[in-house]
Amino acid sequence: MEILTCNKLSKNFGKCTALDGVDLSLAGGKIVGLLGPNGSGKTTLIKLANGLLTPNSGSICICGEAPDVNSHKLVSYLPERTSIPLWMTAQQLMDFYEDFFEDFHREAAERMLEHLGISLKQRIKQMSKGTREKVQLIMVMSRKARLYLLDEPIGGVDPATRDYILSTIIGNYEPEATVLISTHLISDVEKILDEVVFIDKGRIVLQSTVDAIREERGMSVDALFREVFRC
Amino acid sequence: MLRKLMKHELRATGRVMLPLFMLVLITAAGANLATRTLLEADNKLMNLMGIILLTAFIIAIAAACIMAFALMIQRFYRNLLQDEGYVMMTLPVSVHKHVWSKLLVSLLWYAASFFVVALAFFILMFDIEFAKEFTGAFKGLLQYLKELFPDGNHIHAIIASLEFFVFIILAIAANCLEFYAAMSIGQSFANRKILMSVLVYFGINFIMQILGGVFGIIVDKSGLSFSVTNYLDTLSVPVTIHVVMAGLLLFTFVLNLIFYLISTYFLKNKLNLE
Repeated sequence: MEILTCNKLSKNFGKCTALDGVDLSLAGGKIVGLLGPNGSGKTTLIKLANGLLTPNSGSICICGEAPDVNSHKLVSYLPERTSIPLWMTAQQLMDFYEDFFEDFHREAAERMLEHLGISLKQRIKQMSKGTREKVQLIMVMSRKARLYLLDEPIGGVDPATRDYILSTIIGNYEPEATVLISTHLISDVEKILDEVVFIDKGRIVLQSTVDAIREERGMSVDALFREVFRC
Repeated sequence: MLRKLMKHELRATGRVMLPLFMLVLITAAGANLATRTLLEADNKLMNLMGIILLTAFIIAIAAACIMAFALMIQRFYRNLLQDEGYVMMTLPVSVHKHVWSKLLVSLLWYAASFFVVALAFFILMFDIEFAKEFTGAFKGLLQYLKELFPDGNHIHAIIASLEFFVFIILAIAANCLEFYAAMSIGQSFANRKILMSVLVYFGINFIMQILGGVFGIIVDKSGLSFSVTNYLDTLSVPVTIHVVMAGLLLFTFVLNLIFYLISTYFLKNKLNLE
């Protein structure tokens, strides 16, 4: 079954077109890179999938359903910015996720927080930016969701933290689930991707498996990205 | 889910309101001390201390009242329509429950503020003489109600009190929902969301005034007001009160319904978190 489908999906912000008739279909059990330069429409697509924006035309479906209460049960979303309530402690944040998501595994979250040496009593506000992002990712990856939508999970953090984040993603997602990672830091994520979707100026310009890119074009995803998006 | 939303909403707001309530009660005790001893003393330093304690009390009371109002707006905007909205609006919870949770918790803090401020004034003025005066005033109020509802017909008094109580709650809820509706519409614009929310709020009030004026003219010109007055004259005082209260309750209920429908429609169909 298709986990995410877009049909002629368009979104404008005033006169600016963010997405322009996007047709996309993602099956389960894959880690997919949503790759494109800044302002290409990656975040808009992910927000539409979460129902945080409403499309101007076309449709987007999660497991056959438009974004709504039911799809929110299936999707675990990491926003591009820190959105967890800063006044909460890590403990309170886990209470929050446990209350609202049946698929939240508290033990897994506690284990990861403990591994990073994050005190459960510490307020999120008192944590560094990198730690906040890790805590938010831990909450997102501690769910057993059907679709993980990760918007720039490695943007703005140091290389060591990037490795930790990527290993957390690989180590925690359900095998039959789909992980969609939006980023422009291709070389860092390339090693974990099964498939890539290139997006530019609100249009999908390429959808391919990573193996096909390597075998048929004889180049890495990073090299192909540089070729496709050459300024 | 509503219960869970309210639990976390109470956690978020209680950490602000509860210390403030404590402050109000402590400063009330200080103000009591000031009025009874410090301000009466011959020592200027003690007088000054008294003035400071009294000022602190007034500021604390004002802060509690303003904070209940400010939190009502701030929690809706910040928790649902700004960064935290990315988490809140992707919870498996309908927008109806979000709005109810925000509304009920706001009403709860308004009620709590009312009781805490009342309690603070008791503390401020408390001495034996005051207790006597208060009991006297309460008896006076009961006497007035008895006169208003004669023949021992106390049930009318109880129902009228309930009607007034429900009216107050509905009126405060309508005020909250009007702000929610304005913010829900304001956030749907591509730019200048706060400015648009403010403009929409004033726009709603302007429309309500126009409609109120038009309604008043229609009632006046059609002779409806004359008929209503005549009709009310035929009724006994308690029944007149019930009829008037029923009209007010219906009006505030309709206002609540309109603002609620606007808020939930825009949050569900026009959400625009950028």
